This record gives sequence, C-alpha cells and structure tokens, in this order.
Amino acid sequence: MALSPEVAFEQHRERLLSVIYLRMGPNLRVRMDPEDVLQEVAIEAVNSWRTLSDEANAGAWLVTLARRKVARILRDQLGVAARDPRREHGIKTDLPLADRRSGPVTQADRKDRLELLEAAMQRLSDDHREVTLLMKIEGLSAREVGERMGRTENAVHLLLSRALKRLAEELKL
Amino acid sequence: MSEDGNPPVGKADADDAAADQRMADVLRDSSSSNADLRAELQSEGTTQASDLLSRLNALDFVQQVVGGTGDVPKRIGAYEIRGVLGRGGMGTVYLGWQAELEREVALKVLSPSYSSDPTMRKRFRAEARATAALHHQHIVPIYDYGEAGGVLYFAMERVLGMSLDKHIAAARRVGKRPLEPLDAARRFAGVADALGLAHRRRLLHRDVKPGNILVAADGTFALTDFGLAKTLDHASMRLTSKGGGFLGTLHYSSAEQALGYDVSSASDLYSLGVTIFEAVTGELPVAGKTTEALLQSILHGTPKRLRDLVPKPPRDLEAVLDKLLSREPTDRYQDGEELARDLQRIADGEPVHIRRLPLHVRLWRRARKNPVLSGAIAAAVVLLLMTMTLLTVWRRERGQSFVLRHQEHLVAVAKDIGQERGAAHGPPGMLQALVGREPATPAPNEQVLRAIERAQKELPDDPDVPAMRSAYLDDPWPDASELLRQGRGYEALQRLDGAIVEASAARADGKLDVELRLYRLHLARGVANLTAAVSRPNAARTDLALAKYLRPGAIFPQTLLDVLDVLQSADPAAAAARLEREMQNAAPDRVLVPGLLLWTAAGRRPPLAANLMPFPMGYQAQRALHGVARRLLGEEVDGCVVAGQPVGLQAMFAGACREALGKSGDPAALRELAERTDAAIAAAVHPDATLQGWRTVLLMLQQKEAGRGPLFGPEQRQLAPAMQLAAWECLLLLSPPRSMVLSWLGRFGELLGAHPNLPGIARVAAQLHLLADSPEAEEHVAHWIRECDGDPTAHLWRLRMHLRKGALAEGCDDAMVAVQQSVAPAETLREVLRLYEEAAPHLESGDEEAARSLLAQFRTLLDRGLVPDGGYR
Repeated sequence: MALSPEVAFEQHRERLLSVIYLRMGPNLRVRMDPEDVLQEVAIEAVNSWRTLSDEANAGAWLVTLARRKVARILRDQLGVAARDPRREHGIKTDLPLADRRSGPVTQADRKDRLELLEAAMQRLSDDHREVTLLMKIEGLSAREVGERMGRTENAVHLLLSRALKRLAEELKL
Repeated sequence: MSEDGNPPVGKADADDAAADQRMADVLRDSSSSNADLRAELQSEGTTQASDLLSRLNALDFVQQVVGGTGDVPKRIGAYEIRGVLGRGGMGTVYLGWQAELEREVALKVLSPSYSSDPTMRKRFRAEARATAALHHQHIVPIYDYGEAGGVLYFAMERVLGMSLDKHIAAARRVGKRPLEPLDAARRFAGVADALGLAHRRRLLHRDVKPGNILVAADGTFALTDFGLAKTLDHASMRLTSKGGGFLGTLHYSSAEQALGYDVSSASDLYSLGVTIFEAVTGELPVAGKTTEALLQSILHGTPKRLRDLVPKPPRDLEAVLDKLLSREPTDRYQDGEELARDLQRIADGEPVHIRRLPLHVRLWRRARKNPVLSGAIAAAVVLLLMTMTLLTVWRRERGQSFVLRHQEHLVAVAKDIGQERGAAHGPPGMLQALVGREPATPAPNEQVLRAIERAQKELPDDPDVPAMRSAYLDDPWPDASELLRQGRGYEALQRLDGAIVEASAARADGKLDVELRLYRLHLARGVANLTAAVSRPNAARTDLALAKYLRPGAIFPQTLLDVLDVLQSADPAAAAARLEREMQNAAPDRVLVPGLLLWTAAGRRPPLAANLMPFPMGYQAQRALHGVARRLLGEEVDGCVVAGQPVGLQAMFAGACREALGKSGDPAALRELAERTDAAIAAAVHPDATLQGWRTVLLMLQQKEAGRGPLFGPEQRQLAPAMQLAAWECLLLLSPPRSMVLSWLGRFGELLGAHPNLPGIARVAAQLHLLADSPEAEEHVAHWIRECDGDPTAHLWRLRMHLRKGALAEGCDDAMVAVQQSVAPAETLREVLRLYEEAAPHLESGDEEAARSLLAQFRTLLDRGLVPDGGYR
C-alpha cells in the first residue's frame, strides 16, 4: 500500500494533536475542540495531498498544515474579541470513557500530561517556549529552527538545553 | 549577603553554563542512547549530573506527550534497537535489527514493572511457547524469546504496515467506509482460519480487535498479540485497581467476556465479528457514548445490522455477521475454520448455507428489552461488572498459585463455601430490613464449618483460613446492616458503596475471602435498593444478579429476584400464581421468604410498617398477591402481624411531623425538623418522592397562610405534580385537623384542576375533602370509588361519610363491600363496628334502633369466627 494521506495522518496523529493543543492555548480551546481542528487538518491534508513532493516529509508537511490552521483560527477569533467572554461556555473536552484505541486511563493520562506541559510552557520565556515547540513538538531540525529564529545551530541547541532546564523546574522533575 | 558576593554567584553561573553546553552536546548527538547517558549520570552523582538528569526527564516528558520515542535502549539482547513501533499499556514494541540474520524484527518488550512479577514472567514464557507453535500464514510469527538486563522480550516478524484500527480510523476521518464487503470477507477469511488453528491448540486470543490485526504492505491481514491477552488482563487489573478507570477495549468483547464469565472460542469469534463489522462499515455494531451505556448495549441491546449502514450489503455476509454477533455463544460459529470457509465462499460469490435461528426465536430476542439503567446506577454497574471480571481473573490466578503451593486444601474449603447454597433468608437482618419481621437466624452450614476447622488444623499459620471463617460467619459491614434494619436504606447504601469499592481493591491483595465478602455486600446493597427510602428496583436487580453470580447456588438473591419479577410484572396476579406453582414442592424454609415479601408488598399498610418499597398495582392485584402470600406462608401467617413500632424513614418523619403539628406554634421545633429533613434529603442517594413530600409538609407547617399556586420545595423550587401529590399524601398520613385541611384545600384544588388524571390523586382528593367536610366530598368519594378497583379503604371512607349524614342503609352497603373485598375481613369488620359505635351517639332516635341491631349482627359474626381474619389480628 502506498502512503495515503489517511495513513500518514494516522501515523502523526498524536504529534499533530499536541501541536494544535499547545498552539491553540487555553482561551481558544474554550471555544473550539482541538479534535475538531485536527479533523479540519485531516480534510485539508486529503485535499492537498498532491502538493506534497516527498512522502518522507509527510510529518513535517502535516505539522505545517496544522500550524497554519491554528494561526488562521486565532486570527479569525481575534476579530470577534469584542464578544463578551462571560457568555462563552467551555465545550466538553473530557475524553469519552470508552475509547476504542487505548484505554481511557492512557488517554486521560495523556491529556493530563498535555495540560501539565502546557501550563509549564506558559511560564517559559517566549524563546524557550518557541524552541521547545519547534524542535521537540513540531519536529523541525536544528537548522530549520535556526533559520526561523535567526540563530546558529549551536545556539539553538544551547537554547533548547536551557529551555529544558526551566521546563524541568516548572514540571518539578 | 557579602559585599563581594560575586564568587558564589559567578561559580553557579559557570556551573550552569557548563551544564547547558553538555546538554546541548547531548541534544546534538542524537545517535547516543539516553539510557546509557542516564546510567552514566546516575553513577556520577554530582550536582551537574542531577541537573542534566532532570533536563533529560523534561525531554522525555515532552516526547511522551508527542508520542515520540522517549527513552529508547540501544540494544536488547542480540537486537540493535532502531526505533519505536508502538507503545501499549504493558510494554513497548521496538524496531529491532538482528545483525546475524540481517533482518528487522518487531521486539515486544514487557514493561519492567511487570517483569519483576514472577507469575507474570512464567506466564509470559508459557504464552510465548504456545504462540511460537502456531505456524499460520495469518499469524505474526514469533522468532525468539529472551531476557536481557532484566527485560523480557519477544522477537516477532516485522510487518511493514499499520494495524487495522489505524486504517479504520483514517477512513472514518474522511467519511469513507474502510473496506468493501467482499474484500473484507476475503481478507478476514485468513484471520478466521488463524483463530481456528489457535482454538484447536486450546489457545484463546481473548483480545481480538482491529488494533491486533496488522495490515501488511500487500494488504493481507495478520493476527498478532497472541496469548498476551491473559497478560493484558493482568495489566488492566493493575490499572483499574488504582483509580477505577476502565480497561481498554470493551467494544469488542462479547457479553460473556464483559461479564467475566468463562470465555470460549465463540467469544473470540464474536470479537472478530465486531472487527469485521467495523472494517466494513466504519462503525461498531454496538455502541455507547460512555462505558456504562456501551455495557448496556453489549448486554441488552440489539446489534446493528449491515443494512443499517451499508446500502445493499451482500446478504450472506450480513447473515454471517448476525450469527457471529449473537448474544448467546451457542448461536454463534463455534469454529474459526467453518467461518473462514463461509467468508471465502462469500468472497468467491458462492452461496453460503447458514442455519438461521427460527424466526420466532429471532423475533423474541430482538423484542426482548431490558430495563434501562440511569446514570449513577449504571456507573455502579460498570464498577461491579469490572470487579466481577477482575475477580474471575484473580480467581484463576489464585487457583493456579495455590495448586503450585500444594494447598489444594484451602481451595477445597473455598469451594465448599462457594457451593454451600446459603440460608433462604440470607444473612441475619436482611429479610427483616424489608419485611419488618425477624426470621429465625439461619444456622451456618455444618459441613462448611467442619471444612474450615480441618483447614485450620492442617494450615495453622495460613492467615487465609481465619479470614475465610470470618467472611463466612461475620457481617462484613455491621453498621450498614444496622442502618438497613432501621430502614435507613439510603444511608446504608452509601456505606455499602464504599465497602464494595474497598472490597474490590482488597481483591488485589489476593485474599480468598474477598469474594464471599463481596457477595454479602452486593446482597446487602440489593436489599438497600429495595427499601422505600431508595426504591431502585433495577439497581437492586443488578446487585442481586451479581450476588448470585458470586455464589451461584445461593438462595436468597434468587428468591428476591423471583419476587421482583412478580412485583414488576404487567400482570402481578398471574405472575404470582406461577411463582406459587413453582414453589409447590419447595422446602418450607424456601417458601417463607417469597411469602413474606409478597405479603409485605401487597400489605395494606406499607410503607409505614415495612421498609419494602411500594410497587404500584391495582387493588385486585394486591388482593391476589395476598392470597398467594397467605397460601405460601401457611402456618407462618400467624406470625406475620407486624409488631411494635413502625420502622423506616417514613415512620421517623411521620412521627416528627406529628410532633410538629402538635406544637405548630413553635417555629424553633419546626426549623430543627426541617434541618433534619434537609440533611436526610442531602444524604439520600436518590431521594424519593415521599422524602421530598415530608420536606414540603414541613414547609407547609411553617407557613402561616396557605397561599396560592403549586406547592414549592425548599428555595422556592416549584415541585413536579407527582412530588406535590406526594406531599399531600404525607399530610394525610398525619391525620391533620379540619381547620388546617380547610385552609389548604384551595391549593390542592389547583393541583387537582391542572392534573385530574395523576395516579392516586382521586384518593387524596376524596380523603382531603372528607377531612374538611366539604360539600364536594361526596362527588370526590364517588370518583375514588370508581377508580379504586374495589379497595376496601375507599369503601370504609364512604361509610364514614354516610354515617356522618346518618344514612345507615347506604353505609351498610359499603360496609359489606369493604368486608368482602378485604384481605383481612375480620379486621375490616372490626373497623366497621368501631365506626358504627362512634356514630351511634349522634344518630337520630329511629336510626339508633337499626344501628343497634346491625351492630349486634356484626358482633355475632365476629364472635362465632364466621369472618376469616386473613392473617391480621
């Protein structure tokens, strides 16, 4: 079976969900379920699968799609910032107890960890947060991250090294 | 602090910088294994080392969240680790490289936390051997088994591709169906054949699901995770014992597996049926948004059919799936090969001959609907079912280890206790909690006691023996039992919930007596659910069924279930007659309990006298039940008068309110009462209408004026009509004075006007109007008489009305009907006599004569014993 968009998507599902979850942030998550965004990314991936030049890069390509999607939503939602936030109700983000893929214990555990990680990342400096996100969650190489952040590869590794120290402190590891 | 405080700070900075750089180097060099680095850092023991370790931990944390690799060993045994293929609850599957043979393998490694358990290790190897013996094209072969550095592993063929569940999820995500029906039939034929082989080798998979079917690059299916199912059970057990979450993949388990009964090859085939169904339709044949809903549909629902989801499905495939998804294991395929043949035929377009069940059987099964449990109850059910599943697993494990320790003895004792059928009354106090009568304390079974004594002699040091003895003889939760006896069922319920959770947790310690304790706890909770304060017959059914499951021969839970069947039947009279026929040759001890329960359920004065919840039924049905109860009880009926003070929550509130009514001017007393009621309502798991009714009555008593509109509960909540009626019923139980009824009558009139057909409202209307002596009383009483199905109470009330008016002749008619219809004619006649005697002084002189002669006749009837007493004295 050649790599199909559905299969590629399934392989990178966890990573994509983390990217979406962390990029959305708590305020946006009140309005939208990360799973729904994930769904939209999946549809977009199927529609534009032809534009992917190298299947080996499918993961990075999907992450880019996800990041753009969240950015667009953030921009759109900022446009309606005047809405009274008190009238917003949090959507139910509890994972259903009966999940077919893995036990809910695992699922809940994962969600807990995502929340923990997010809370910890919120307290990092912008640089530290960005380098962790780009390198360890979105999976970019040090060179790519360096280009985006205007640093050398060595500086990126050093930055990540410090970010991890701060993260360890925040996570009390 | 110091003036030149630089050196320490500067040193710290330098340390930090060194650590930063070292970590950066680690991050750059992705080829080295973190595991080795960790070992190195741990042995270093410096501040920098611990700093680096915590950074590594943060890195692992992030990678775990993303689903990345985490800490991957460089090498396991002869295999070089090249990546992670998947992670599960019990271990990890790595991509390994076997240098000597130059091949990739999938290396399944048991999580180190499980590897330390000797039983697990033994089973792991046993299962590996069994699986290795399964050579089949559609089973992922095992190459190797071994242990390296305390880690147990399997080496399996590396299948290039993903598991089927990911394909299904992918298709679902884009709204497509994963597989064409005929294609699915062809591919699954191989899997069915593979299962058939395993079953011939006496190996059950027990975890067949899309996640355990690998789809190779050429599209063929291969079954994997063989024999690990048992190990998986064990893993889930640990996961669940902590927080009570649910173990994985219930969607694919058959009813018998979900319930923890013995599974067979048919159970594996059921799971395969669900898998095929999902692969064809993208949806599950049984679904539920929550675990409890899912369980309900597995146990009681009707599975979906192909035609519900696929337009024009192949009829043969649909028939095959219907057969696979039958609830009864015997209705399914028994043999994987047979299924494989049929699937292959379907794929080849040949006809399939399936022996379908006769139409009426299918229809009946389809029509069979079961009571739907609501949220909280269902949650409890899930917990219980899980407990049961775990118990089965545990029992199996336990049994094995005991045989290994040559302590068949203890097992024999446990078996003795298990087989002992138990007293018909159940543990002391249980029956009393329902019927308000204490039965003779059931004696413990001599045989069981002797077996325990023998075990105690031969195994004096084994702590299990005294524990078993205590579980057999002692009440596991005396507090709850006492509450039950007092009729405080809802409080007992809360304690029992806790105790059941505790007992389930104790199961993990492998105590033999847990099962017995759980049996009694479930029984007690079943009884608690049947008390008037709780009134949850369906929850009671579940508990009783569980108790029955825990001790298959036990009599008491079965009897309660039988009686519940009668009381909840659409035609209680016929159902009771059936029960009576079944009981014809039963031992007297066995007959007593249903007799007492039916007696109470049909009694004229529940719920004040007994705690059994009320079962609404017409008077004639009540009367029929009385007849059956009387015949079942035989001689015992003499003891059936409910003696002494009424028990139960209702009695408590009635007493308190009566007291409050006496000193209706005392606001402090009323407030205190209201607080007590509020506390009771807050404590109630499921406050029933009556409980709310009393609270409302208290509010009414506190008000100076009756006011208008519907009745309100605390905090000005408007009450539902049924709740309002309950309040009026409670008020009636207090025999309120006329002045009070008069002032409130208008308000009741509004309820009556809005809901004239509320069940039971005719009775309340008639009684209130009679108490108020209103001009409409006659009309309301007439209405009640029409509705009452011959209830003597209604006729006695009309007699009272007639006597008040001096209408002796009409009164006489009512007296006759009341005595005729009564289940206790003598007592009713005595009541009639009392009413006439009360009325006599007020009668006109002419009537007085007639009354006197009537009274004389009544007395003669009574004195000569011509009126049967029906058991009430």
